[in-house]
Amino acid sequence: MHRLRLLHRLFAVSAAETAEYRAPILVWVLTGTMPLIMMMIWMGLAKAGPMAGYEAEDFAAYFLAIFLVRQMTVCWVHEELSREIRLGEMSPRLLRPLDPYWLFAAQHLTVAAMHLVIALPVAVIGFAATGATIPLEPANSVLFVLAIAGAWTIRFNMLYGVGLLAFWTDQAAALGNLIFTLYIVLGGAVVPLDLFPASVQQALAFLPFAYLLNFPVEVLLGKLTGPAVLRGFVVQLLWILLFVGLRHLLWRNGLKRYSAVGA
Amino acid sequence: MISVKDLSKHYRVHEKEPGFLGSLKSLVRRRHRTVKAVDRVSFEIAPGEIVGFLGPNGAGKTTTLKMLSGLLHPSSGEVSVAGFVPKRRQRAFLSAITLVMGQKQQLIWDLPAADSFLVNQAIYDIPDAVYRRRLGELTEMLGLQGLLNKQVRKLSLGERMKCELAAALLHQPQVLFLDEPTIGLDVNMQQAVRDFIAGYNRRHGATVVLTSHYMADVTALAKRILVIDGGRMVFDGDFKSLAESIAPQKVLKLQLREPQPETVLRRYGELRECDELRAELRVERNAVTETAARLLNDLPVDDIGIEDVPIEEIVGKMFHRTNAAPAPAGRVA
Amino acid sequence: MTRYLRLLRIFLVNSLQLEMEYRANFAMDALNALLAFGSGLLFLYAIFEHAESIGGWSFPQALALLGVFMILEGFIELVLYPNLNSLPEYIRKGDMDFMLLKPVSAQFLVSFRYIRLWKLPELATGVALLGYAMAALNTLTPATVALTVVLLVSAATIVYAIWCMLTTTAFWLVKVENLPELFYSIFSAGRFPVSAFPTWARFALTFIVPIAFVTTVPASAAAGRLDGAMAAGSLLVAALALLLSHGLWRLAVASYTSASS
Repeated sequence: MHRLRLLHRLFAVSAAETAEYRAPILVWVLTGTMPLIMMMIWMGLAKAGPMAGYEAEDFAAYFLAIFLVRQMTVCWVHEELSREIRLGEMSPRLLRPLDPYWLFAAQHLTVAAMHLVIALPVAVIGFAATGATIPLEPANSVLFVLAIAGAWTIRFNMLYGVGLLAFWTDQAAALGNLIFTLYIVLGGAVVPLDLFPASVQQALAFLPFAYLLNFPVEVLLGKLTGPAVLRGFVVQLLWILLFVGLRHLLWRNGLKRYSAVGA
Repeated sequence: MISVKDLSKHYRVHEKEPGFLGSLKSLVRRRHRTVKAVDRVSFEIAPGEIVGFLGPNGAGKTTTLKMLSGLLHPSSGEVSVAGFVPKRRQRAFLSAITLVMGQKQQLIWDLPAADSFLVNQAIYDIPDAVYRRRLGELTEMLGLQGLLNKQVRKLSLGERMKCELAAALLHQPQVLFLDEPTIGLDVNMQQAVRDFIAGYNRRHGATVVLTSHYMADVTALAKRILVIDGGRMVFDGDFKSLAESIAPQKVLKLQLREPQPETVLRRYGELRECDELRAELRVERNAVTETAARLLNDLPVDDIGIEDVPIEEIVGKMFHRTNAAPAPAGRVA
Repeated sequence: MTRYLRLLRIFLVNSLQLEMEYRANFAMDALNALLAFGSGLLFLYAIFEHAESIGGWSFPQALALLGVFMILEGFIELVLYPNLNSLPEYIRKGDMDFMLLKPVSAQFLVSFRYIRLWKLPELATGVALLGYAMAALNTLTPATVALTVVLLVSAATIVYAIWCMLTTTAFWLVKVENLPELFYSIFSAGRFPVSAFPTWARFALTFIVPIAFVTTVPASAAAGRLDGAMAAGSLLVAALALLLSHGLWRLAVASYTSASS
């Protein structure tokens, strides 16, 4: 009960804080325009004819959905963590009887919500301008929300783990940037995964990135059959378990190291 | 060297009430207030003088210094430093002055101080031979041996300050503006910095304007002090005249053989402290010798000492008189 | 003038010394550069598997464009990011005051103090790619190379000027310090030839945020399909942008010195 009230308080504070940062968040949303640029390129290419079954409107729907998914799963926790650990700012956090994970999570969720609020009008304009459509079936929408929740959890825990590596190396932030590049390309934000050769697509099924971007988008666009959707969620769950477990491991061992050094 | 006439700096601040309602109100109608950070200050400083600016926090010392160095545009009034108008920030002017700010540094954190010096050498276009000579002199005067090749972040606060001073003086400016240069330093280091400034002034005849809220800085270095409070100049002169006009008293410290009741002691002057065998009295200047004699005669006094009122108290008293009009030099209204 | 060149040399030396403290960064960045290069290539392959050209540009021409893009991205990471982006911090911590007290251009000091040498791999990869593409297109002649270099310098100037103008707003706007990020994200459109975009975007990318002059023009020179008017336009835009950025800077400093306490 105490835990619930604490979480509620955390969210309230985070929400208030986030509201103060409306302007910079607007700019951050606008910086997430890469999918929209890709959309224009692919639509231009599809003018001559459909590519791998994608018409111009299909590309539009795909990339607009990618844009929204990226905004909803925005994550920079690896930068914050690595900085705090490096500069010794972690210490005050450790004095409180609450795993900092929840603070970061609350902050990220409220910011993601703000991102969504600002990004939706942009997306709506995009849909209107390109004539793209989404089959808005209630079933798909619910599944989409679940898929986003899964994607967010995977990404957050993955990058949290990367941030925790700062206990051992000062390259944690750099590693995070590397992962970002992989995430963008292998997640389907640059090329819809359908357009990769089959062998590449198969390989990508073993990496988490496809489940962070491509999977939620395909769920939203209603492109997956029942069994495929189920499979996708199972894989998401597996990745969640892996990264959450990894995070706990890194946290416990990292703390030992941190206290040993006496930061 | 430095001439200031009716210098003022005003800021328009808008006031907002706290809370959501306050934000709404301020959207509709903004209430403005003018803050007079510096209010019609005037003074002249001759070349080679060391002048101390004294004042409580927020009095306007740093603001004045920034206007003198060109970092801030005055709202009104005239300023002339070394024949230049500071706000124009002409190259020759910037090469003739330096500003050192306590607790803020221009040295590159992760590199040895020597590397920051080289940057300044290039910026001020100092020929190699001249640079080496000056660096040698500054190293000797400040005791920088062994410090220059260590990374700045690995130096202690005092060592950093010394390097900071050296970096600021490589171009041998004619005018030194020092804003709280000894803040945060331990007593020994404070002394070292003061000795250095005095020595530098003697050797090169540079004009020094120094702000501090450490009395010791100002009394050790400056014969002339300017007291600023609430943006206004409330005193311009030397300490003796300040002490005489503000605090026409002396301190009598008594060491007694037997404790005396307070009522007895009070007959001789204002009793400040009384603690078993020790007491402190305040007595009018002209009456001090007479009172001392009487005390020695009347009471079992073992030892007696006559001192000046501590400078902190003098200045502290001054700052209570915030409604004083700007004073002509040497007097307090 | 010599004073500035001397300073630039010292800044380079200092940056090198600072970098040597953080050796591991170099390896990481080389890896990152390789990854960026790989993904850029992967993307082009995927496109050209399904299409003949992109906006009328053939595969080797698109490679040249990618090379130009990586060179300019390297320039941004090497020079712009580590310096101009720190402007809000300089203002907050008082470093700006020290810079304004020096008898050299504060804009120069703020812009070039730290050169992130460990970002060189990205720049180098871009140069290698461009060279390869030009060889494949048979345009590796002294004249073409010289022209490409000139247009690259012009492009870098435009990018610098825009970035500078965006960061200068930090003197007035306190919270919106991430404006350059906005530019950076639009800049990523420079991976593609301007002709690959819909007409309205082409207009925006030429006259509003002149990405066209920044990547398409130098790449056109390298690919042997240069439009003379655009080349001249690039030089003009560079000169204008630089003047504008300096003007805005001076305005910002004037405002700072009137208002700060």
